[in-house]
Amino acid sequence: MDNILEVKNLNIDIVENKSTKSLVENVSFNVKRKGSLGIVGESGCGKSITAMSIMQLLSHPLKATKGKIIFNDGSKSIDMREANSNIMRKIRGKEISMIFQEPMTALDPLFTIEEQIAEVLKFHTDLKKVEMKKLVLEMLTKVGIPQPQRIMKNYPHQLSGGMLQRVVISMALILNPKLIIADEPTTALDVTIQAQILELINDLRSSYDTSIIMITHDLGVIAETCEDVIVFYAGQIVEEGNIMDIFHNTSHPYTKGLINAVRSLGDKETELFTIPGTVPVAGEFSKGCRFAERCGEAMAICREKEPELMEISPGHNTRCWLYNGGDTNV
Amino acid sequence: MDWFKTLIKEIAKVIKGLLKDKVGRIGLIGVLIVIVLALGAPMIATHDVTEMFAKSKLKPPSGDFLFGTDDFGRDVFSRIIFGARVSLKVGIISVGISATSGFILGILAGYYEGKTDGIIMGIMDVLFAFPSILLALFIVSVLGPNLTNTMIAIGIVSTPVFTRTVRASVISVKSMEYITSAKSIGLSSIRIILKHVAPNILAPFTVQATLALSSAILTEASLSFLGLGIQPPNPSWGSMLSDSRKYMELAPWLAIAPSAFIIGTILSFNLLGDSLRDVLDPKFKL
Amino acid sequence: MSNPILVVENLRKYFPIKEGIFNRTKNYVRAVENVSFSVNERETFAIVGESGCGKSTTGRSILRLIEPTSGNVVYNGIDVLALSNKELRGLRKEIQIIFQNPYSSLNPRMTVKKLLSEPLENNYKLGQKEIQEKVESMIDKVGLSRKHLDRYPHQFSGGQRQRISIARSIITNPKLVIADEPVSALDVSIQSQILNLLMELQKELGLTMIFISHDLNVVRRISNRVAVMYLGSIAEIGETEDIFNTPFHPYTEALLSAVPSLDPMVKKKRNILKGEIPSPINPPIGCVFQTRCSKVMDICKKKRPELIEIDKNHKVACHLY
Repeated sequence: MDNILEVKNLNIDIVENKSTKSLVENVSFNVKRKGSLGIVGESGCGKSITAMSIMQLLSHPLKATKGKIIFNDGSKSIDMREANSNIMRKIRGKEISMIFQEPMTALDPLFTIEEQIAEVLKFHTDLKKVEMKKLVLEMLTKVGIPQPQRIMKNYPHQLSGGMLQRVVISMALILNPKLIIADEPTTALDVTIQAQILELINDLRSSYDTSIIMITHDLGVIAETCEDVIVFYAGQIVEEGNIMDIFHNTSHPYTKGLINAVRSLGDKETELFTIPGTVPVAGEFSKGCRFAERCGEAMAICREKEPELMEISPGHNTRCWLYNGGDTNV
Repeated sequence: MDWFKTLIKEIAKVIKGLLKDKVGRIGLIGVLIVIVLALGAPMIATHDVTEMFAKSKLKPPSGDFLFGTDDFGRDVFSRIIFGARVSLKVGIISVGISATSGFILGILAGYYEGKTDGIIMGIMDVLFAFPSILLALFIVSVLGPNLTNTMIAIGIVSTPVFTRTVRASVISVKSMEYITSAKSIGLSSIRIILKHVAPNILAPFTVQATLALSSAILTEASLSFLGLGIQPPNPSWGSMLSDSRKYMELAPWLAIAPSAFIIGTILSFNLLGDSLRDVLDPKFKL
Repeated sequence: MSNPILVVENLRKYFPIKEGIFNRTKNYVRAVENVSFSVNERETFAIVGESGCGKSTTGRSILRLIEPTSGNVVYNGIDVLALSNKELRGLRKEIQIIFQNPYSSLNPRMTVKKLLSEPLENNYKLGQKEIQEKVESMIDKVGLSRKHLDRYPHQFSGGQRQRISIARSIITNPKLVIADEPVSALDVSIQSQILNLLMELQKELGLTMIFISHDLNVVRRISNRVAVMYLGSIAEIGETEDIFNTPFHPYTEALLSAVPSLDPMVKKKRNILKGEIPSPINPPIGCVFQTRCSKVMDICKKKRPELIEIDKNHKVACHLY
């Protein structure tokens, strides 16, 4: 199998006051071995909870109700939804690790940097203390932390956001995981620091042969770091393909809108492109296409019937009636 | 009278919300029972609270004496009913004292910070350092044991808790941008406090008040139990419980009835407080 | 050039750091250090920079929501820093602020109607009917409907709340609006709606706007002139297009090149800044940017560069020029 992760027909629901709302519907995607997949979408579209469900980190009232999440490390494959908590604990941190948005809250304020990184090693390896220390030091150097000897004795509050994110990355990489899930890793950082961190992630990925899932709302970050992209809207995948498909043969009106909104910013000659309306809330989706209300190209059928994801060129799928060859009787 | 109408509307909304919540319903019903008992005491009571039936001392519960009689031959049921009056009165008035002073002090301390804050919180910390029952005992023994002094003592003792909660909420509300926004449209401090700070701390404050009611009732019971609260022959749940000690084995109903009412009342107030916390959240939907 | 409506001179804000039981001031956070600029009538003047560069502090100091340590703020000939509290409150209907976070900038216990009528009641003597009319016309203007007036803020999405916020700020007919990261908390698809709204309102009402942001794309779109701030000081100031096309200051250059490109084909040649922003408690002596600058010279470590005009209306604070 050349996919490290295969997600099939994943559904995530939220249970509130006896009513169940669907937050993620029928989501399927693959992450290639050594590949990089970007998941892009706006707040509340379900991209983050999809990532959390891969690690089985969803907690009540969120629940993955259907689907398979198959992780294949090359020798064996496991369905994460059926794995018990013992197996999951061994996978987390060692096989798959996560990088979070807020490095400040991702680290425990009561422990030094060294203690926090060593904690990962303690649980997953039988290394001696001296070896651990050596490894931690090596890792901190790799992620570009100056004076690692001194920094590793520091507490999180003594470091800046960019430094902390480097620490979090070193923690995620120290066991050489097969897959890294980065959930908005640079959103809390300044642009100049973001550029540093993205460069670091790209460098490390090629030297470690790790696969990565990059979750972000920022199309620029996707363009910089990913090979494949899926676009989420209102709990569904609306478009997927490789990065050239997405940025140069954009098909779905929503993806087009997102790209145009950012592009037209830089171009003062043209009118600023906007997508009208507001993002629909879970439980209040209209019956046809979920984007129809905001779509400039909506047709009668869009308000009637929900489109399926359809292939418009090899590997490039879109969920839009415009690409159905005019055949509205599907 | 416009604000009066909105007030009534708000209260109706809160009660509706409470009734929707199971916990709130139980709490509200419990509290209503106590209120009805207290208000309707003369009608509900079957006997005079001080009347002694010499022939029926320490009688177990029966048709004539619902909860039995005590060592003087007085009807326990009627004494419990009148005791509810004392408990409620003490609760409401002493919380009235502590809530009002705590609200004002807390807002001053939280809003103005600096020296004002230092002085107010310094005094509160000193008050806090005493065990509350000891402080209440001290105040009552200085002022003399009677109902009014008991209420004053309980009021003073529970002021620091209010000051602290109010101050903490004021500080967190103050950091919200809508306070800066209010300043930026040119509102004066007093108006900001009244229109933007106070309404937003009302929820934790109301919850605190409900919980304080129950602890005030408990403190009154303790003081009466120790003989420093309501003086005999007036009935109070605490003093009834205290008197029952001597006959614990002989006449357990003497202890059971007041304990049950103390526990029930306090539980009801606490449940009500818990439910209020949810209902008063502006995001709460009916 | 048209007349400046606002002149800021040598603005300085030091936040004291208090320590110990006696609350003695141990040191200062030098949030804003000697900032001077002027804003012309009806233009959009942007202040751009990374977190902690002092851009928001500068914005709030103009309104005295934060009291500046020293300097001059002159609005239409009025010395703002010399005003009494009462006079200042009167001025606040003319200078307004729009906040970043639409979730915390609206009082959750007030309906939209109350939120919008409050600034009017406070600043003007108007009858109920006039207030009602103004509120209704304002709600139309920001693209919401009258049926929204009786709702509470939590019933709206982020973008709609920001519309309410904007309505509340401009309902008093201000001349100068300070927008502090007004679109940073919003989703991309909503961002452009709000930017369009701001640009339309500005044109229609003839507003002067100070636009504070960390987002270079947004700034380029909306502003006529830009000041780039770094560690409390202005590094470069000039017409927006000049700054974006021919940045002089090494920091501006790095900042521009750090913005990710939307085209995967174009791998931009990056000029990635090394290191971190120094602490504003102990800023370096000399140029504040020296620790990260690739073109640092000896003089940069000794003397702080002054803002000098090197092109028409284009000033830069760098020893290279």
